[in-house]
Amino acid sequence: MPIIEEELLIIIPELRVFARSRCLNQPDADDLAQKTLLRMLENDHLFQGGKLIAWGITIMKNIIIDDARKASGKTFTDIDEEAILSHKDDTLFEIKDMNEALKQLNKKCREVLVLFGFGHTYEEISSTLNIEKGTVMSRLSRCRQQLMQVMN
Amino acid sequence: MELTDEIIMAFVDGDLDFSEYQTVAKLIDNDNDALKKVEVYKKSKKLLYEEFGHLRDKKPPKFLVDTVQKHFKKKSNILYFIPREQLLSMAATLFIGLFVGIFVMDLTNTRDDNLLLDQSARHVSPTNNTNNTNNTNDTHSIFSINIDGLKSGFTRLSLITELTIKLQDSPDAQRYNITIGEDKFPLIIAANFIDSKGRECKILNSKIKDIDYISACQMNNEHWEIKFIE
Repeated sequence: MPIIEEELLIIIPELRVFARSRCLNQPDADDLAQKTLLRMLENDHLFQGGKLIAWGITIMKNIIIDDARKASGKTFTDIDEEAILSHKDDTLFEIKDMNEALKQLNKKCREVLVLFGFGHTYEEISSTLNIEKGTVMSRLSRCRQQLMQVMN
Repeated sequence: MELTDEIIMAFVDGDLDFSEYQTVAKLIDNDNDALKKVEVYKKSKKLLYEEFGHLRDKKPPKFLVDTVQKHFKKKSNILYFIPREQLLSMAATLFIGLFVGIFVMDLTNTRDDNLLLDQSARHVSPTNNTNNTNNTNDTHSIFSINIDGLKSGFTRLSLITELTIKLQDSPDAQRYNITIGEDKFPLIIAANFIDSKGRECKILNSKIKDIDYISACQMNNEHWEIKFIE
């Protein structure tokens, strides 16, 4: 199914914000968003309909995986659970910066939090991430509590 | 109704209908833990909206918009509408066609050349040929190849091949040799005849490889038209 230019332009902000859940700084997130857009355009014949942003996020996740596999060159930061655990002892002081706080959370938390912060409803997060609304709600409630624990 | 974290969060986020909202509001008022959680969700909502909410309304960076627009601009090019695989196969077909065409043309030329070269390699030494007429000591050596005739007249070996050669009568009218390059081949007259142009012609038995007969028709005092009859 061909991608329409306007549809792709509309999802750019959403791609940017989702990229923030992985890159944690906006310039890197924008680079990741651009890479995602390019790959979407290159593979537009593979798009089989449905929600374009969901397909874009799948592609973005694949890019992150591909980059992580590369031994050299710039990779988009994908903070894993081990990294989070290693930072736990350092979080005795109060973190006021959102990026720093998000670093302390796992990527599933970061995904729902940034999309919620972007203004998505639970249903929208559910369809974007292709997960159940109930899962979104339980994850979001847990992650918001964790976020506030980290920040205060 | 059980006051779960998800329901408290939905209460804060305004995701409950009016009757649910009223019920939950009463439950929360009597639950200190729930009240604390309400604060947590309110604060987290505010912080997250402040951090990421502006991205929704903010104009995306130009380079991201350009990435999309340039692609679609290119796509307006007619060639872009042809699927990439088809475009590649078209290019490949064109390339192969071109290659085969050149190859076939080359082969055709080469074939003629090969026949020519083969013939000349076996029988003709071009540089020596014109000299052979005069240099030979063999009284029966009477033929020498005219190279110009060889080049222009040669077509296919399976057809009668026309060559222009010099012919001299031998003292022994029944025995001839043809000297091609350094090779000498005996010829025996099989028949004499006059062709449609009124020329005196001979049919000669040939021992030259693949050539059984030669016809030789006198063009003038020195030149004879020779046909190899395979």
